[in-house]
Amino acid sequence: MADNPNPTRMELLKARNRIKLARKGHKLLKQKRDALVLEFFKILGKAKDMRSELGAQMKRCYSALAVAQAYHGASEVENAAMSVRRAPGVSVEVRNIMGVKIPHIESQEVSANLMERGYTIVGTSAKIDEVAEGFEKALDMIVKLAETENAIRRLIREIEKTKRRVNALEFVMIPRLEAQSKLIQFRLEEMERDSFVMLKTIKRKLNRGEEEAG
Amino acid sequence: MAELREKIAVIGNAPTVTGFRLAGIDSFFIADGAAAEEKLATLLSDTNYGVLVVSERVVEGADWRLKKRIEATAKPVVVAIPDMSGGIEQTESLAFLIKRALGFDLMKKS
Repeated sequence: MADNPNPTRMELLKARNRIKLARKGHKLLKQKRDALVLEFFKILGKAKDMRSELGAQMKRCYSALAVAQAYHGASEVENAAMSVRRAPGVSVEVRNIMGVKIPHIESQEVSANLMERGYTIVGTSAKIDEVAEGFEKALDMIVKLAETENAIRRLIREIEKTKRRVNALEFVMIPRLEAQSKLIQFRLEEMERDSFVMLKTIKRKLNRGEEEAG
Repeated sequence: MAELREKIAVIGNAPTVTGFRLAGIDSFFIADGAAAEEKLATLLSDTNYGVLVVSERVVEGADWRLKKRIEATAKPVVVAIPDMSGGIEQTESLAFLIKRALGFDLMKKS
C-alpha cells in the first residue's frame, strides 16, 4: 500500500472501499473470536483437573508396577502382559468449529474384570491385577484427556491468532486507511480551491485586458 | 463394536509399555530419544491409529518441526504422559497457553 497515493477521485473511492472491506472483516473476525472463546469456556471446565489427576494415577500405576515386578520378577510381569489379548479401540472423528479441527473420540471403557484379561489367574497374584487395573483406569483417563486437552490447545491457538488479526485491523489497518482517504480528500479540496483562485485570476486579467482595449 | 476401528499405540520405555500392555494395548513401541521421535513421526501419518500415547520426555525433546506437526494433526491425537521417573514440567502447558491467549491465569485459583 502506498503511503503517498495520487490525489485523484479514483484513489479516494478505492481507499473508501478498502475501509469498508476492512470494517466488515474486522466485525466478522470479532464474531469468530467470540464464538471461539465461548466454545473454549465450554470445554475448559472438563479439562481443568484432568491433567493433574492423570499424573497422580500414573504415579500410582508405576508404583504398583514396581511392586509387582519386585514380587514376581520383571519377566513374569512381562509374560502376563504378553498374554493379554484385548486391544481397546477408539474412533476419532474430526469436528470443525469455526475452522478449527477438533478431534472427537469415541471409546469403550477399557476396564475389564479379572477373567477377561487373558493371563492365567493361577500363576499370578493380585499384584499384577492391581497393575492392570491401574493402567486400564489410566488409559480411560488418557482417552478422555486426549479429546479435551487437544481441543483446548487448538482453540487457544486459534483464539490467539484471531485476536491478533482483530487488533491488527482495528489499530493498524483501519486507522491507516482512514488517514489515507482523509489525505486524498484534503488534497482534492486544496486543488479545487487552487484552480478556483486560478480561474478568478485569469478572469480578472482577461477583464482588465478588455478594459484596456476598450 | 465395529465402529471403533482406530487403535491406540504406546511409545515409551519398557515399564510404561509393560503397564499399558497389561491394560490390553497391542500396538506398542519400546523406544527412547531419537528413535522414539522417528517412530512418532511415522505414526503421525498413519490413519490406523486414533490415539498415540507418548512419554512426555519424547514430546518435550522433539524438535520444533515435529512439535508443530503434533500440534497440527487432529488425527491421530497425541497425548503426553509422565513416565516411570515422574512427570516433568511441560514448557507449553495448558495453563501457560491460556494465560498467553486470554491475558489472565484461569487455572490458578483451584
